[in-house]
Amino acid sequence: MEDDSLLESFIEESNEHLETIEEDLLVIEQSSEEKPEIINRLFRAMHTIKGNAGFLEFENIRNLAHALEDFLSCVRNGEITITASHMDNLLKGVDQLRVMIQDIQHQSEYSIEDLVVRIRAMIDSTQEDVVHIKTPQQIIPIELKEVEKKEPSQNMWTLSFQMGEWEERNHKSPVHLIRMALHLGLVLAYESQLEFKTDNDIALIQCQIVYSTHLSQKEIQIQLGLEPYEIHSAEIVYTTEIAELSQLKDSHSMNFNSMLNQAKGINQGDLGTLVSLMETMEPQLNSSELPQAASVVLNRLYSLTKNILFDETSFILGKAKLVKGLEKLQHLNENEARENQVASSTTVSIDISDETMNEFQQNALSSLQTMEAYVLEYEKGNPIAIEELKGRLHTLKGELGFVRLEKESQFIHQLEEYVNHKPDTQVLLEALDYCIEQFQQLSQPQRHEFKSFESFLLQGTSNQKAVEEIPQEKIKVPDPSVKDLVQKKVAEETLRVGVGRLDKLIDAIGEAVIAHGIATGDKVVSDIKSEVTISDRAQLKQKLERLEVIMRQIQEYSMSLRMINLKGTFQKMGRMVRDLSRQLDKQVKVIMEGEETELDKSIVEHLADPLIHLIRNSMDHGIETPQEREAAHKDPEGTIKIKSYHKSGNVVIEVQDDGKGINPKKILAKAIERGVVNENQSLDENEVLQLIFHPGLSTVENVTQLSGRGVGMDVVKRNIESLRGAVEIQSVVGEGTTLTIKLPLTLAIINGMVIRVEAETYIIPTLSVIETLSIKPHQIEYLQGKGQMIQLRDEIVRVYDLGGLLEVPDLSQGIEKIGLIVEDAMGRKCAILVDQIVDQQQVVIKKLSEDMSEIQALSGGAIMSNGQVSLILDVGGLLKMAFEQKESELWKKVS
Amino acid sequence: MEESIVTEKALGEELQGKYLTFKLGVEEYALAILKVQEIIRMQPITRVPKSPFYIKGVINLRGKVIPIVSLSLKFDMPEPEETALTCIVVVQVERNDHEVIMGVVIDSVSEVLDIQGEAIEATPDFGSTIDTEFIQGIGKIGEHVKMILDIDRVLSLNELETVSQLA
Repeated sequence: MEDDSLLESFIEESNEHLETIEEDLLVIEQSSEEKPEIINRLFRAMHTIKGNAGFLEFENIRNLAHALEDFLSCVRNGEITITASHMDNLLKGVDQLRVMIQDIQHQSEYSIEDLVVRIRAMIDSTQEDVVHIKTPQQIIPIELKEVEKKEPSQNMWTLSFQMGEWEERNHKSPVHLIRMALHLGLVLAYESQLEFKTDNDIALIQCQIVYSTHLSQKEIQIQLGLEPYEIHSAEIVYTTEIAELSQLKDSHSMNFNSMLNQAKGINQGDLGTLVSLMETMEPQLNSSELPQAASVVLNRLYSLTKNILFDETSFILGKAKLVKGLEKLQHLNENEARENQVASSTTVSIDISDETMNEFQQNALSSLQTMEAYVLEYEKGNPIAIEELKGRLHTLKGELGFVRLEKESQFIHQLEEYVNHKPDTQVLLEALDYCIEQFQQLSQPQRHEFKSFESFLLQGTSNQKAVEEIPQEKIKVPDPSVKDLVQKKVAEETLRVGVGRLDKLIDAIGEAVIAHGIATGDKVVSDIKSEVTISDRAQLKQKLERLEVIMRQIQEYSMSLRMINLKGTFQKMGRMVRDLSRQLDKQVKVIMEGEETELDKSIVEHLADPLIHLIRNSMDHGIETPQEREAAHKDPEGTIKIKSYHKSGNVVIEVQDDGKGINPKKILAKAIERGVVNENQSLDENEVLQLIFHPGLSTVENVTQLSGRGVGMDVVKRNIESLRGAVEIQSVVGEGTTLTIKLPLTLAIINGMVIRVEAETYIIPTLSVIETLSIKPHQIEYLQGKGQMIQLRDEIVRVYDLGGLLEVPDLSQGIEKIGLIVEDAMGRKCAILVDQIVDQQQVVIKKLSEDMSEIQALSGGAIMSNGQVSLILDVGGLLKMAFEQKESELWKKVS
Repeated sequence: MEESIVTEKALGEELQGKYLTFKLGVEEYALAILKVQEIIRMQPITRVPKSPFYIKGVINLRGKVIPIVSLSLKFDMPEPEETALTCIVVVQVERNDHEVIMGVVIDSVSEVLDIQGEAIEATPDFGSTIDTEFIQGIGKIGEHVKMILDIDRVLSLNELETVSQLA
């Protein structure tokens, strides 16, 4: 049992470390200079993995991690600078670690010696560099055959360059070049030759890549950084490969034998052929006809061949591995032929538990959202963002592979390639949306078939057209700030904990606070007659007070565990403004402030809908078209500002636009017409504006055209109020509108007014109370026995006696009371009479049992500092009850 | 005659076990010990307005708000004076697959008894004026009888609802 949980936490922790390691490595790869803090972090993470693996006696993992750690330690000490070839091995090491950790039971069966040797070799030859690998085993020039273009859209090029020169020019290794090339097309053949320049004894490596791509010469030049003279048209085609390909297409049982033979006698040139063969096979890798196990092996082989081709150090080792892999594959294939069923005996397949899937789903979704942010960032002209996006996509692809979502994995893979050549942000965003939508359905047994990226693009063409009409925005190039990205990541480290566990902790702490309160109020402390001395008592009291401070702190911390920031929500809004501005042909920029403000998770979850509504309104009706704006001497580009901040224990979210504003006169006219307000009622401008939330007004559709606002504002208000919040509107005609949402920090705690009615104590949420005033008996007017009212400034306000409503035993009468002014569901003001406002305090809401859930005046109970329960009143329900009570009283009188 | 003996035996087998016995006025009741979570002193109860008449209110039981039912009121008996012996028995009742914790106010706790199967008889029929549906059986202990309470039923939501509708 204990072992299991140990193991689990080891796997979880290690995976987390590996994830940061991989991301860090990618950051290093992108930035030219060394980042000591990243190297440090890398080292520490690797060290932890090593230590844990050693403790749990996973020798393989420990050894590999140890090798990596040693290397990183050298880097940390400045003995080694990481080069691209190092990076390859590092990433491979990380991948291998991940594979072993995921298949922890069989970790000892993986062979890691090659990798360890290679990593150790990196440490030994400290100044190893790609340029130094000047002696490939054999150079067999590829025979270039007669031209026969397979696809008209594909261009064939020969890229020829001097390795050393290219590296000097671009400060990147040739491996990098070939990597990039692979992303943009197909490397058909690769050839390198040593060339001795006699005059200065320098050996140059002349490289030639035969390359099939849809890119033009110019584009290759820009993308790969090659000079035009280095790119020649290569009108060739790989006839033999095509022949083999057609065979493959005919029957899905692949001719592994020939591949194996090829691999055994492989040399560098052949590897190129093999890679291209693999590339063409790739769509079939995931086909359902292929046994799953075989497809996994094939996938691995594919990436393996891709890697060994361009990394000469690993050539021999890689070759051995490849042969081994192919042997395994062949074995699998034979197995399958014999049993005609999925070859599960070799157990390459790992069962994916629901939990893993769940976790993956959450990870994927949050990662997709981050990607969305990067796309938006990229659109604004930040080139770093696209690199970051690539890294994320790559990670996601890997994860998808692990959880066996092959279609999805391929989609991401294609998306990854798409990102590589000047992606259209609209297509990217749509693709991400599509993924988000699909991944959300992961847990459902019947979900839609995942489309391939091509068919997605095809279906997306209608949108694309729309996009094309809008002139492409220029992409500005601000200086890349890798540092920002580094810092961001430090802040993002989180721990996932079940909500249930958190709630239990919060409950327990709440109880402890109360128990402490009871202890403090105990007789021993307060009763003078007890036998303890005064100084004893004082000491005890002091101790208890100290404890109280700590308890409060703990409670605060525990409450904060449920808090998440508004970043995700704001991001969504930013995205929406962007989409809408294109749809509506308006120019709008979004300014977001205070996205780091934190709120209870359950509130944040329910906040998106009302916010979307408000922003839609602003976009639809608030912000004018560029022409209108210019005519009004405004910046043709409108602004929507979404802002969040803390204010007196609440969180305030503002949605502000600089549009045309709302004309209160029109609203008032409409309100009078609808009978929502009385003509004689004198309302100030602000009060008129708030009428927009009135259900009687906001559901009238044609108000929209009249006032520019309104549809569904009552829904917004209801939504916000169900979160125990409040919403308000301010607007100046011609200048814009601001909606202010006030929200409690959490749903579990409210700010309450503790009130007394006769001998009973109740709590009213402070947010529901607009104002309080003292009311003398003579101020109350009686209305033919139907009710009571008072005059509040110029307004007639109905009065309800809380004691009467709640049937509190009546002790006194005729004394001055306190009136709490609240609003009913229709937005009318009412006064609730109580005897005294005792206190204002935060209370933790406790549910009442179901026996009392029918009582609509109550929303819960709260445990007060004396240990007793006070009931929390729900103002809406209370007034509704009062209304119904009046009705039934009237009926009684009638009958 | 034989039939009723058979059912009686079955009933006895079903109900035999440990019981907490308590007093309500002059009557003696027995409550299956497995249903009892704890017995607590009488304490200030917060009245809940608009709740059914026999719900005395709610209390704080170590951070949980639980409802308190007065069994006397529930059984249409006059509510007795509160004494030092008055206490709250916290019970766990089954309600559509989940457990609910409630408190019942009783006059005084007597003892924990083992009631044998042969000592249990079916509830006699007192005619329609007296409602015996909450009584599962009668346990004879020496010269006294204890009424075995079907607490799940007494505190079931349906039961509470119908009563509150009537009231």
